[in-house]
Amino acid sequence: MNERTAQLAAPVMGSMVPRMMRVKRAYRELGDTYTFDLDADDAGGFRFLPGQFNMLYVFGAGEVPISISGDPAAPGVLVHTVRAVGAVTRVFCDLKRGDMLGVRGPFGTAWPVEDVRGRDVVIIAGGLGLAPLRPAILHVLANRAAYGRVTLLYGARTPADILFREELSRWRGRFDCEVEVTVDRAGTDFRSHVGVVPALLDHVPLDPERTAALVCGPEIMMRFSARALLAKGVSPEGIWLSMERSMKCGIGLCGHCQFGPTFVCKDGPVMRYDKIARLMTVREV
Amino acid sequence: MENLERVLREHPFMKELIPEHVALLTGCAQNVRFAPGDLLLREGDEERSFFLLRQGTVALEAYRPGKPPLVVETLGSGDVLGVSWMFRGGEDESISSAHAGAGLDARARDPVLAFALDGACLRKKMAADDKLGHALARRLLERVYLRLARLRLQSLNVYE
Repeated sequence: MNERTAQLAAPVMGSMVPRMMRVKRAYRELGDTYTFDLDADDAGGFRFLPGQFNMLYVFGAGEVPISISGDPAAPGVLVHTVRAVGAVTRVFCDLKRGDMLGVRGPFGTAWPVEDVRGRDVVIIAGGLGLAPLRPAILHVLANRAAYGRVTLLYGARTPADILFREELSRWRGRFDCEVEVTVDRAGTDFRSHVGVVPALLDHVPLDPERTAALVCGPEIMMRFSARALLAKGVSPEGIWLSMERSMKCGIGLCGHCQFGPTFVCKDGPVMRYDKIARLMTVREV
Repeated sequence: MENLERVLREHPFMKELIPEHVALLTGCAQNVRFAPGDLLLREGDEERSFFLLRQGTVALEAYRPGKPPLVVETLGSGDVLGVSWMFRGGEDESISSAHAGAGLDARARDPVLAFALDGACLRKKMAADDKLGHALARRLLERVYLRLARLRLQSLNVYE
C-alpha cells in the first residue's frame, strides 16, 4: 500500500473497525425496548452530534445501526435505546452489565440544533422515534436561553407504550417548554390526548416564520406531520426528518441504504424536508 | 347578543365567515358549560346541537359491554363536535343512515365551555340562504375530511 492509498484508506479503515465497549447498565424501558449505557470512559469518551447513529456489533449475532439516545454533553457514557424486532436486536436485548459490544461510529448527519438557535423549536416524535430526538432535546434544554419557544409533541400506540415516561414528566414540569403526549387509543383513566400526533399541532401556538421542526418516527407518521406543519405555514426548509433505511456499512460504500440519489447512512439520517419531499412519495425508492 | 356574536366570531370554525353570516348563526347559538363527566352526546341519541368547543377537553368514547369504555379521540379548544344534525329534517331523511344518532359518547373530561348551535335552526337558515348553506357545508366537510385523514393514520397502527 503506497502512502496515498494508505491516506485514503485510513478513514475508511477507522470507521470499519469497531471499538470495544462494556455494558455499564442495561434496563428495560418497555416490554420489548431496552436502553444500554456503554462505558466510553476507557476509550477517552465518545463525542457525537444529536441525531447521529452507531453500528453496534453483537458478537456472534451481527451488526445493526442504532441511533444514539444519550446526552451529547456526557461523552463518558454512550447510550442506545433498542427495540427487539429482528434476529440481532433480540440477542441485543439479552445483554447485561459487563458484556462487551463493538461500536462503529458515530455516523450520519445531525439535527441542526446549532443552526436553529434563536428560533422556535417544535419536536415531533412517534414511538421509538423519541430516542434519536432525545440528544437534541437534552441539548436544547441545556442551552434553553438560546432558543425561542420549545414544544415537544409525542405520540405512542397506547399509554403502556410511552417511552422515557419519567423524563417526559420532568420536561413537562418545566416552565420553559411545552410537552404534549398523545396515544392512538386509551382507557378513560388516561388523562392526556387521544389521537394522532399531527392533530396536536392544532392545539399549540406556532409562529411558522420562526419555527424549526425536528420530526422522527415511522415514515408515514413523519409524512403526515410534515403535511400538517406545511398546512400551518412552516416552510419545507424549516422541517427536518430522520430517515430510516437498511444501513450496513455506515459510510456510503455498500449502497444498501440508497434513497434516490442519496445514502441515508452518509447523507442522512437527518434530512431537510425540501430535499426529500419528492422522494418520499416515489414508491420505488 | 352582541357579545355572543363577538366571541363566536373568534372561534376557528367561524374564521373568514362574513359578518352577516356570523350574525345569522348567532341567532342559533348559546353558551353552554359541562362539568367533568357530563355527556355532550350519547351514542344513539339524536344530535340536536352542533358544538364549537372553546375550552376544556372532550373524550369520544366507545361503549363496550362488560368492559370499560375505550377513548378513540379527544377534542379540545377550536374543535367541532356533532355533525349528524345536518342530515335530519330533509326530504331525503329516509335514505340517510347518518341520522341514526351520535356514533360515540362525547364526555367532558374537565370543565368544558362551548357554543351549542341548534341543529333545526341551522338547517332552516342554511335552506333560506344558499351562500350561508354553502359556507357552512364547506367548513363542515373540511373538518370531517381532516378527521377522516387522522382516523386513517390512527387505524394504520404505525408504531407496531
